[in-house]
Amino acid sequence: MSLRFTIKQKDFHEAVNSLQNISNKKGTLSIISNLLVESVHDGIVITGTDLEVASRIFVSCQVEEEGKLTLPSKKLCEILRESGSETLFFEEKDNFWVNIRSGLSTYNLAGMPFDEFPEFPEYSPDGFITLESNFFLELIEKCVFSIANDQENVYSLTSALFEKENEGGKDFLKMVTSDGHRLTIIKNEVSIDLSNLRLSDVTLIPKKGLVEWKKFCEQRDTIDFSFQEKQLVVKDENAVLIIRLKSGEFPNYRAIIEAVEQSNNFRVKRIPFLNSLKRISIFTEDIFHTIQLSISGKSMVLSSQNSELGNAKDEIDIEYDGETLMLGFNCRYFIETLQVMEGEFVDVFINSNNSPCLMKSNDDIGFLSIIMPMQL
Amino acid sequence: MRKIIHIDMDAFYASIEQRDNPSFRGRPLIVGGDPKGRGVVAACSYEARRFGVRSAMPCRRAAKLCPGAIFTPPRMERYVEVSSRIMAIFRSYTPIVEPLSLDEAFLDVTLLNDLHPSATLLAGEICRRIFDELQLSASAGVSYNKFLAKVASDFRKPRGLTTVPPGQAQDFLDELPIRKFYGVGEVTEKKMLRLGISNGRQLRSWSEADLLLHFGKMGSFLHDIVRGIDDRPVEPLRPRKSIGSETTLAHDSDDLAEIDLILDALAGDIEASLQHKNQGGHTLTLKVRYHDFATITRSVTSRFPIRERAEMLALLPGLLRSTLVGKVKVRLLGLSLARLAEARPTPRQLKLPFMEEG
Repeated sequence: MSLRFTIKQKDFHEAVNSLQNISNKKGTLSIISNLLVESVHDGIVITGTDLEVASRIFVSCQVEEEGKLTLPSKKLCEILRESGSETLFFEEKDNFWVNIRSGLSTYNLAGMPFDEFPEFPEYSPDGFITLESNFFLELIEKCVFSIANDQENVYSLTSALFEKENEGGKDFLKMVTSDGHRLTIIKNEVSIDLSNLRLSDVTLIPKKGLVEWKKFCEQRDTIDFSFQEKQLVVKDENAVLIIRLKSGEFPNYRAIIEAVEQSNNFRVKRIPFLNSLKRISIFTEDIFHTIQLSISGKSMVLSSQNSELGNAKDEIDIEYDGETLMLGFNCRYFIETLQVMEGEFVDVFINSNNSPCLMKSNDDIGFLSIIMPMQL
Repeated sequence: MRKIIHIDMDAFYASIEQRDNPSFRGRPLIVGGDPKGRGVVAACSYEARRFGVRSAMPCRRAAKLCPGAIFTPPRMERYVEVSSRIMAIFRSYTPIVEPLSLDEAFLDVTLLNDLHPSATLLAGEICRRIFDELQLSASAGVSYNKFLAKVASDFRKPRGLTTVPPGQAQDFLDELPIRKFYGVGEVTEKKMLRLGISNGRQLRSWSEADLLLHFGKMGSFLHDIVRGIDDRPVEPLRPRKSIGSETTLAHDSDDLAEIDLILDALAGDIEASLQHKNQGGHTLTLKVRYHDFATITRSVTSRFPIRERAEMLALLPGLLRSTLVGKVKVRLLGLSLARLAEARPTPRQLKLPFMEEG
């Protein structure tokens, strides 16, 4: 039994390319920088894993003999990308070598036996819910930027908190992320019944998993998903993605929102505010991206200073009748939030230079962002 | 009216050596380099001073002046250790202590009025405590500003205690020989003597404009202090003016490869503390102490603040060229960065409330 099949370059390349981020994780076992390729009766199954996220894709093709082997992911992807031919022929030789023929090109690629490759996680075929991909795309895009990169304290901030909510007879799915300096919440209504969806008390999806989930969604119109014990399973008829969930604690974000005093606020046009921030960010210092906001009367003055390069100042109109405020912020936090919002106007609630700043908009229902200021 | 005490240890290094080594006691002792070499006197005991030996004098000359003197090398670590114990005694009275060097400090005791109504008695008590606990003597000056307190502590050394109350300040200053004015060094003294200024009274007869003309910006300072005016506060947390690191070599060396390695490490130390403080410095100074204790410094100033090790290393060859490093054995190497770039307070990103729990 050895691998032997003929496959369309486009189909195989697309599948292998989508597994690159999973299989090219640095500093891991060499076997998982390979992809498991298995030829079955009417196609091949390609599997990649980094032990946290595992993905398996079926690509239909003409199989001449069934077999199983692992091939180096990056090299395989390069061969497929550079191939000038519409179809490729793969044939396993002795000692796990694979001979690849594509038009007039021939490659011999060194593979490794499949038995060292990690087992694909088991999952139950039941309990799946089908939803439009766009729903999750939006959920993930609107909060993924404020996930922490490193574990800093007792809370698992390197993951997003995933929750479902029922409010007034309507079902919602919600994601919350925080890096300790800011917190983002996105909650969207779901048109279908979620009573089948069983989540544990604290469901934490690691950042890498979210990114792969998003990619999975980008390539499909609808997906099936199911939360099962310690894993999230996302699939369609040809592919399955399994994300190992994190265990840990997530801060009580509701208490944080409640603690923000929503009395003093200004309203600003979102796009002009965003553009102004981008102009001001030209002169921020590399580490802190500090800007100063001076809010008074009908305008907000934004300024930045780089001790070696210079400074910048900009002014935009706002609707405000509170006291004059001088605030310091990390410019990027604002930019990232405003970029994912959609409304024409943003309402910014802020009281002082040491209390949280909350942003929301009438047109971004379910979205909320809290940013802590900087003390200058 | 403020109450300020200046305390200055008597022949600090030499006294520590005499205390630690009974055979040095009562004898002329010189802390410094080899009497036959090119080193200088770092400190000397009062017994040696009687022969005319002074700090910074070449050791060879000191040996001639005082043939019976004992020479001993300095032990800086020991002096630093003793100094920290002295500063701790000061701080047990008031937190407003401004050390000037290892062996002297200003104390602002204005707020201790209820506990110690007499600053003079308090100064005496502090000196006694230093003697009881450390067997080292000190001299103290008490007055209403830093300049007068400093001059007063030097007035009757060793074991002196001089108070200059406001009513007597002008008479005291008028009689004061010009070289006793803090800040007046050898060069300025000579210049003043040429201009006919030998005491405070004569100095006071000069207008500020004339002093500015002859002494530059120091003129204003002289004009004020000779009238007993000095508003400088005692600053316990004086911002650091430079960041530096130095090391005594395990053995004196003229091996350039070894020296480069040491300088590289020193530059690394500085880089680390610069990053810690988010600062950079404009002036890089190389300090070299040769085997005979002769110490030189060479500086270079850059228009942009220096922040990184590589930048310091790039400037070093130019500095080394004007030293004898590589030709003469070196005992100590130091690097420091001064004119620190505008120490803007580092912005501090606040955390969400829950982060404090973790």
